[in-house]
Amino acid sequence: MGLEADEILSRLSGAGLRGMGGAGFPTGRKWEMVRNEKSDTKYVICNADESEPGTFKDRGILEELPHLVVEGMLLAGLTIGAKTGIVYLRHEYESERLVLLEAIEDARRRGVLGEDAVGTGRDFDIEIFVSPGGYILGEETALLEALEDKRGEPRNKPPYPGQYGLWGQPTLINNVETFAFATSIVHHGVDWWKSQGRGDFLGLKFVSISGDVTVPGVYEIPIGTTVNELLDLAGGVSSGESLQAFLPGGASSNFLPASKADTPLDFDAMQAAGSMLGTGAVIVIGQRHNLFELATNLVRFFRNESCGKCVPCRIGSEKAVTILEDVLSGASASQLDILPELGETLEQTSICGLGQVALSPVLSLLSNIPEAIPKSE
Amino acid sequence: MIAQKPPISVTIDGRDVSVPEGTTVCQAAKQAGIAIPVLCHSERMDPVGVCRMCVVDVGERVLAASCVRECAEGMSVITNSEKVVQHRRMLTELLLSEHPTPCQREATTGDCELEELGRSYGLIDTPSLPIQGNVRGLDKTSPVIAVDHQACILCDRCIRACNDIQSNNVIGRSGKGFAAQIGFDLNNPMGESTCVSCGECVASCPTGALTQQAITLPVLPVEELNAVDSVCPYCGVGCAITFYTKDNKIVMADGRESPVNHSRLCVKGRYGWDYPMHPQRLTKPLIRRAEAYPKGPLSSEVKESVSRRAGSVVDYDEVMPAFREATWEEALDLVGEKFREIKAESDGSALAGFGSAKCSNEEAYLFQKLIRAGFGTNNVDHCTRLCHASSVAALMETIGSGAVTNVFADVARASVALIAGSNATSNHPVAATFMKEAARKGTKLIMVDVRRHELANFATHFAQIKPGTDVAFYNGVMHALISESLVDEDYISRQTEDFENLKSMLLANYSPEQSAPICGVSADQIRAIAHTIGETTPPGGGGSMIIFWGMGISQHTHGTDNARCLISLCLMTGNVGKPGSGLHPLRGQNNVQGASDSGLIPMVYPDYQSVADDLTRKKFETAWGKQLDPKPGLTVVEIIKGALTKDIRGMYILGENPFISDPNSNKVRKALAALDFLVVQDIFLTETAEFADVILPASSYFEKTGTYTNTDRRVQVGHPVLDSPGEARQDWEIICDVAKRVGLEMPYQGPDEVFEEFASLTDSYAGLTHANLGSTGKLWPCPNPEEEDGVQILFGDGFPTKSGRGRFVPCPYTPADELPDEEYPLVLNTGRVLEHWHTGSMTRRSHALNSLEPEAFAAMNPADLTKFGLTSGKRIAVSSRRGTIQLKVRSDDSIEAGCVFIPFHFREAAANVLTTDALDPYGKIPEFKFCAVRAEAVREIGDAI
Repeated sequence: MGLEADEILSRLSGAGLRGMGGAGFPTGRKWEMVRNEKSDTKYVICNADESEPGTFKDRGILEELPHLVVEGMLLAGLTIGAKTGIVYLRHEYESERLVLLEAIEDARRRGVLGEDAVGTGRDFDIEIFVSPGGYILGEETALLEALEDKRGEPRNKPPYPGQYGLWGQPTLINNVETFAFATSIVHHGVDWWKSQGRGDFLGLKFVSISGDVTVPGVYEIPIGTTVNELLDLAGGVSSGESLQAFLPGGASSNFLPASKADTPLDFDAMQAAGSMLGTGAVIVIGQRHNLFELATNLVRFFRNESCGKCVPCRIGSEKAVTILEDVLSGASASQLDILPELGETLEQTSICGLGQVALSPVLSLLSNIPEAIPKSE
Repeated sequence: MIAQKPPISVTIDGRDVSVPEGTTVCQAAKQAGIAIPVLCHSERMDPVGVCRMCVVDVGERVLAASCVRECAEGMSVITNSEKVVQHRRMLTELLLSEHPTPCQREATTGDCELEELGRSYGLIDTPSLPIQGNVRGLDKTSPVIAVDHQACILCDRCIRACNDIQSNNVIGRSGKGFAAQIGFDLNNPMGESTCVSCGECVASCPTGALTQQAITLPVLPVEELNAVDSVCPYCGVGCAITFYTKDNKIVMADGRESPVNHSRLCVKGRYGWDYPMHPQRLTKPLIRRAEAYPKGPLSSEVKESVSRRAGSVVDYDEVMPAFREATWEEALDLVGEKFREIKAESDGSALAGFGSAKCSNEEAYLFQKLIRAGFGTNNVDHCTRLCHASSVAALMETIGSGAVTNVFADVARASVALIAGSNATSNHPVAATFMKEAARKGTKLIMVDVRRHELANFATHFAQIKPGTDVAFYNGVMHALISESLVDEDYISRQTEDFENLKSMLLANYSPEQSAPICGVSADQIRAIAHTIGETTPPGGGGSMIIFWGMGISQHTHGTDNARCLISLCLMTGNVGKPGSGLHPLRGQNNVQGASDSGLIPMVYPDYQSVADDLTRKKFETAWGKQLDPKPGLTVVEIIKGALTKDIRGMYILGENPFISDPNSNKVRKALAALDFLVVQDIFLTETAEFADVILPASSYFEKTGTYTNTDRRVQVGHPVLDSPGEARQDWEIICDVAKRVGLEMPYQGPDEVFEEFASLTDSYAGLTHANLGSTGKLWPCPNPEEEDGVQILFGDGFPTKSGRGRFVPCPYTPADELPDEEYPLVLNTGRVLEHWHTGSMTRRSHALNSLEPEAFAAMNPADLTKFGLTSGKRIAVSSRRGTIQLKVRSDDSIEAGCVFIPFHFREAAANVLTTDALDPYGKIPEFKFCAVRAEAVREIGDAI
């Protein structure tokens, strides 16, 4: 080790690393905030409950590079002053669990984890908690509730987990990929990370590409790579179709039309284009698909995955599905008129991200690809 | 000292507000006079922020729920912008699209909070969202609470009411997303769940999801009902209640804010108030017909202890033919004449009276005055003899006062609470909610009991002792405390006496290893409990222990010894007189404390002033204008025995039902029949009244004014809610009329005047009047009733004993009176269930309570069912040396192997047929908690041979 916490924080902040779980919060700042909380007990949690449709990059990292995750959690633990790390693992990831477990045991054998972690004289160890299952449990506060053996429902924020997390203690929660990159940045330095990006963009990103694509899979790309370039890497749209639209960052990100496929895969660039980088799950949609049907299906997904805790998400998502299915089966499209207002209420008043984006598949069609929406007579 | 944090300044709708740290935006807005609509929020509960109706704009990306968002310095809040209102309106519309409008609440009490909000947004009849049909369904499996899942908005108020306020943990959310709904236990129908029907969920529900089913008249809006603030008639907790009436009928009840119950109620208080309106109320005086002599029992259940009827209340067709209606004049003249006659023939000591802990202080005072000054005897007692007489004996002897030293709610400040021989969740349900709440917040509960009842789930230690071995157990604990120097030597030397005798006895004979085989609790556990007590309340302060106890301690032939042990334990650890500490025998009846305070005790006048003390007697002779008997009178069981031997010839029984409540019913039957003259004054023709010569129709609790003193020593005024039926009269007036006929003038104008006379003869009640008791009463003693609530914690600076010190009394272990043997191998334990009260005369005439627990049962450990060849749900015969009853058996693993538990409420299988009338030598309390029985299967029609 030999690195002081201040230096670790300065490298993470200097590199500008942002959370890779979807929200993109600056990692260095998050670690610093939890470090500054006064408490004898703190926790480091790796959110490996990868459930966003189209997202499977963390699975690839856990399978191929588990030691980067273990080391990233250790760095976090030593930085913020935690003794316990918990990997909250998606329950379908059984083979990844075994690989990760081996990496943890290997780290223990080497003295990297344990009572005298990497010779620092400080205690840090990692346990794996297998999620009972459910999309909402990937939401960081629902995850905490599940860890506390309660119903997996998101908490009202603030307070944030960094202040009031697991068992009420300050808790650092990062995504698998974030921990892996933290390790690399601390090891290679800020300049190395910055040099990895394309053009003005900084750093690397693991993306999962799926849908109508010839070679779906996980790709590690320089940030700034465009969607078109990624599509080329993955062998182009499958069956020789042309691109109709794509989701750049999983089901929660907005649909973008083919014309936006020259947008670089980057947090700010994707936002400027009317969507978000999210989890970096690019879903490719060829011409043969009915986008309205796809959007309805995604809203149905959010309806199904709503925990039901708050009114807007619980009832609003159900109302939206009822309306969308009605229109799909031939009812007047005038019913759709209420959806922007309903969507705004969900966005403004839902407790967590799920409710806030539950209608965005259909609302993003409305704003980004309006021709895909049925017109009222 | 905690440094005072500076207040936080926020701006709400342009108004500057300054609030303490931790204040929510919603609270701050309220402070600024700005109303924010809420549905899920209730000021009695922690906020959850699930309905989102209270959203406000704090200048962030999305709106914030003001009920959960804390104010931050400089925060600027807008509560009523077009944007905010638009979203609230949409949320209301979403909820209404799923809501059956009008819902059951709107249709009955007219106060559905969602529909009111809908009206304010003009949304009720103009749906713009697809309306869902009623798909979630009704659940009417509870006899008192109707559940309409479709009307539920999942505000979680009922969940918090059930789990956080009442600590019952029955209601939760089940299912997910749009399919989520409230569920009982593992989503069982409410009536099949572990719900205890306290109704806290109904009281907190904002919509028609949880509503009260009609008990008398249909439930109506409170504006259309007459509201009377009063107190619950059932247990010693004394919950403050508002009763709502229409057309001389109670329609519903609700808890009200008071230091006692903080609006909480249990099933009896909330739903058990319909008995005074039962058609079997007595409305005219009754005189036994000549052909109904010689006297004896009338109904099948009183004639025979073994009944095959599953029946509930007495069949009036069986009993009424033995009586004829009479005028009050005729009945009272007959009563006066007979009592005078017996007194003249055998002197006053051949007369006796049982007063009632169900009646008021005023009635108790008048009744004992009548017996003492009118009959000329101290043979007056009441059911305190059957509940805490031994506790009072021990308390008087050791600390000089028989009442609690601290209120039950102070368990919140206790670091340890020892709960000994008390099934508080059934018998003091609202007090138990405070114990459970304290446990959730860190108080360590130590439960010592023969039954593993619900409180054990909240306990740090649960010691399941063998029946009747309390003394051995507590001696073991005290041995461990002393031998490991965990006692408060300083307190012992400053405030107590006689410690050395106790110490030497304990050290010689009661090491945990010596106690363990007697009480069935391991030496390790005895030590662990001693450590918890000693280490959590270290000498010199820091922690505190409060001790609660119930009938499991008192109702033994060594009940006084049991209580002495608890007192010693409390004294040696210095746990009297400081916050969160004390001795609290949980009093059973609503006015058992007050009836005792008022002098319904054969050895003492009001306020425990000895009848044998010449100066005291002079004082009362002067006050009452009659010569008084210096000889202490007989106690309850002694009076019954006296009736058998003809030493007692005439009795006046006011509101008690000894045939069901006293031990050894077969003996009581003979005794009551042997009386030359018996007057029973009651509201129903009870089992005891079957033996009466004259029955006087009295007023129920709900029909009169009077004061009642709860377990905390809180004196509260009960107000009339109903008019009495027919010619039924006020009890105090009847007592005065009887008194007049035995030559004692009682010219009182009303109960308030009686109370003043009583209070003036005591130290404890001095200064109290009906007027200054106010709406939530006062704790006695109360030196300044106009300004203060009364003294909560007693004896911080010494005890009202001659030496001013608390006394240790060493108690060697002695076994129970009647131990099991080959013929009677099981130990019988009797007690109560949540839904019923004592002899059932009230609760079995309550629709809700009787529906919830309609018949007699015996509870046994599943292993014993197998051992004795019994089947849960089938009838069994339980026999003791004194009799046999038949009833259904229930498998119940909270019962220790080798024991049978039978509640004593049920006339068709009266547990007291079996019990022994052996008495504790000091308290004269019978051993209701221990006698030897056997259990056998009963062959029923249809059984395989």
